[in-house]
Amino acid sequence: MANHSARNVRITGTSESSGGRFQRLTVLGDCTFHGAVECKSLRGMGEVEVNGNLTVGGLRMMGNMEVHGNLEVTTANVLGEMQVSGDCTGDVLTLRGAFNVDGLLSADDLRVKLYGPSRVRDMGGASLVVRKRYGKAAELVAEVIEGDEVNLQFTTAEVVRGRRVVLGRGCRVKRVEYQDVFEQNSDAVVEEAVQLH
Amino acid sequence: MEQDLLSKKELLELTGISYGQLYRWKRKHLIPEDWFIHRSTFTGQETFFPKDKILARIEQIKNMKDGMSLDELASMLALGPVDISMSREELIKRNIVSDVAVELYRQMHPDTETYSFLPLLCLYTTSAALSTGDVSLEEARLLVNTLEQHLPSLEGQSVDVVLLRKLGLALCLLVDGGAELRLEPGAKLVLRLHMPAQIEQLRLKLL
Repeated sequence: MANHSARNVRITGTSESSGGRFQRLTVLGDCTFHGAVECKSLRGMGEVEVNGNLTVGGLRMMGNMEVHGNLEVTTANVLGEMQVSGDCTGDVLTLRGAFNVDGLLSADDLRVKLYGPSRVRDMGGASLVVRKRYGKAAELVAEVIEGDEVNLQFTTAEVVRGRRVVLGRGCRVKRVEYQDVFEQNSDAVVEEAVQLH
Repeated sequence: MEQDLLSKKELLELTGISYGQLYRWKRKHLIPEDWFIHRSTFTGQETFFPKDKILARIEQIKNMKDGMSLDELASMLALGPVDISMSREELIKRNIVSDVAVELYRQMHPDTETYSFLPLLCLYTTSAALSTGDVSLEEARLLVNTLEQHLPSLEGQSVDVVLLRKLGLALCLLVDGGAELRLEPGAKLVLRLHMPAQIEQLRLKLL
């Protein structure tokens, strides 16, 4: 991102932008980007919508975020609602709220606190932790979850694969495949668990 | 194109890498998206990989990752062009392409003395085609023309270059990577080269 034309931009109020490259991007209020956005850092409060891929070094978001494309970050801290129609990937992702990822949600270190109904197709990474914060409807639905350390609560999944798998309260998993450790809360429903060598 | 597949589980077991590493490498684009083949099996959704390619790639990453950062590695393995220009003499001296291919290319473009990445790629692919021994010089010209015409607009896409022959008449075309070809009777598939593989080999030679 050594583009000399990339600048710091601050957007307040309700506005629209065609997207592009930025250094530090700050959105206070409501902003729709009509194209891909690439920036060093994005801080958002309010609503951010990107019609294209969003590539960010550091993302801090409070409020509502919609990405119609892939979201690629280094680190992200999101509080609120997030929708990604492609993959959502990063090194360290901390998500609090409700989120919808149509593709893969992947990070080295993924921490999720559920506040509402969330859905993701696949989830993968080194350490995956899902916790429920509050809300009756707070649960995560996924097809495949794969990680080295997988620690879940209130998650419904077809398959969970991992080296260490810990399933806590409210988990419903069709099949667990683990290498080293598998722990299961008495409240978790697992149809079958297989140890692989 | 049916190829030998390896499931993700087998891959991890065989190579000794972890889920974390695999997903990290995927994120950093060290492993191309189209190698991840999702299939439903009786144990649920599983991911498969083309066996030979993925094993070679993992080995490559493991060998090189100590010397450089993942980002450097990614830019080296990526499908994009390298910023390079090389003179013809150097090309021959470093034995990147065969003399025959260079001579052929020089006849077609007498004025070109230095080569940037795309011409290099054309040249390299042609050289690879000629070295199979199945392709005549005339057909190699066809190949160069086809590549030159279409490669610039296909950057970052996975394509195969295919050479067909029927009754001594050759036809060159580009198809989507891995696409299946069904030929009419009497037609012969002379050559099929996977361009991303060519790019990768070329990049390694240019290092």
